[in-house]
Amino acid sequence: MALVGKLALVADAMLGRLETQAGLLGIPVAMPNAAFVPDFTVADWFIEARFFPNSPKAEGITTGLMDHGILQISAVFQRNMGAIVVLEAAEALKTMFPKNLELFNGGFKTTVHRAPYASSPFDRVDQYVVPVIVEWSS
Amino acid sequence: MRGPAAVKVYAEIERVKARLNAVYQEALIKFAEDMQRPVSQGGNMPVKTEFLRSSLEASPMGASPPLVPHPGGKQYHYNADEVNSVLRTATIRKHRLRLTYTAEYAAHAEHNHRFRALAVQNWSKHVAAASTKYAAGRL
Repeated sequence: MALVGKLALVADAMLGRLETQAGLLGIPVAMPNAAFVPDFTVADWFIEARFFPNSPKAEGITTGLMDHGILQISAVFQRNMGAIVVLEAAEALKTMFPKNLELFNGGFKTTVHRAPYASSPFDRVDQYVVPVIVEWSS
Repeated sequence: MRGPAAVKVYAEIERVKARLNAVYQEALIKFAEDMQRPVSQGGNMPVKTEFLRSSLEASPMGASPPLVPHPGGKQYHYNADEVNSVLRTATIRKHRLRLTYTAEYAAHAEHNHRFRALAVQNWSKHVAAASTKYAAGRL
C-alpha cells in the first residue's frame, strides 16, 4: 500500500531509519503497535520505539501546516546491569538521529530540529529503560 | 532629580518589565493547560481516576515535593485555579517555579504518553500567543 498521509510518511521515514541503524548494530527493535517478544540472547538490549505527533507547530499561508512531534526510542535492558552500559546505549541511540538530520519521504521533508536527549531512566518489573527523545518537524 | 524625559523612560521600562512577566505567566498557564489536557479532549494526559492529573503542584524552586503512590479506588479532581494562582506569581528573572507531578507513577505515564515533553515542544507557541495577547499598548 502506497502511503499518502503526511504523518504516516514522516513515521515511515523515521522508523525506517531507526530499523536500518539498529540493524547495523544488530539490536532488535520493538516497533509501535507491532508484535515483539524480548529475547536478550540476541543482544543485551533492545530498542522500543514510539511515535508521538504533536498539535501543529504553525500554519503557513502558502506552505500549509508545519507539523512537529517526538520519536521516542528507548534502550531497554534487563535489570541489574548497572547504569553505565545503559547510558552507553542511549548515546548510541542519540547518534542515530543527529540534529539537522533531514529525511525525505513522499514529498515531505522531516528535520530533527534539536539534538536528541536522554530522559530519566526508570524501572519496570523486569526491565530497566532509558528513553531518548528525538524532536522532529516537517 | 530626574528630568521629564528620564521619568518617561523609567515608566516605559517598568511597563516593559510588567509585560514581560505577564507574557511569562500567561505562557506558563497555557503550558500547564496543554500538558494537562486529557486524551479525551485531544490532549496527551491519560485520565482514569485523575490522580496523576490532580497531582500537579506548582512550587518555588528548591527541593521537590515527595512522591506519593496511588492510594487506589476513588476519583480525584484537578484544580487548575490553584496551580494557576501560583504560576501568576512567577517572574522571569527572580521568581522561577517548579511544576511537579507527585504521583509516583508519573514517569511511567510520561514514557507512554509524553504529555510533558509534547507540551514543552509547544513552549514557543505558548510564548508567541501570550506575546500577542500582551502586545505593546495592551497592558
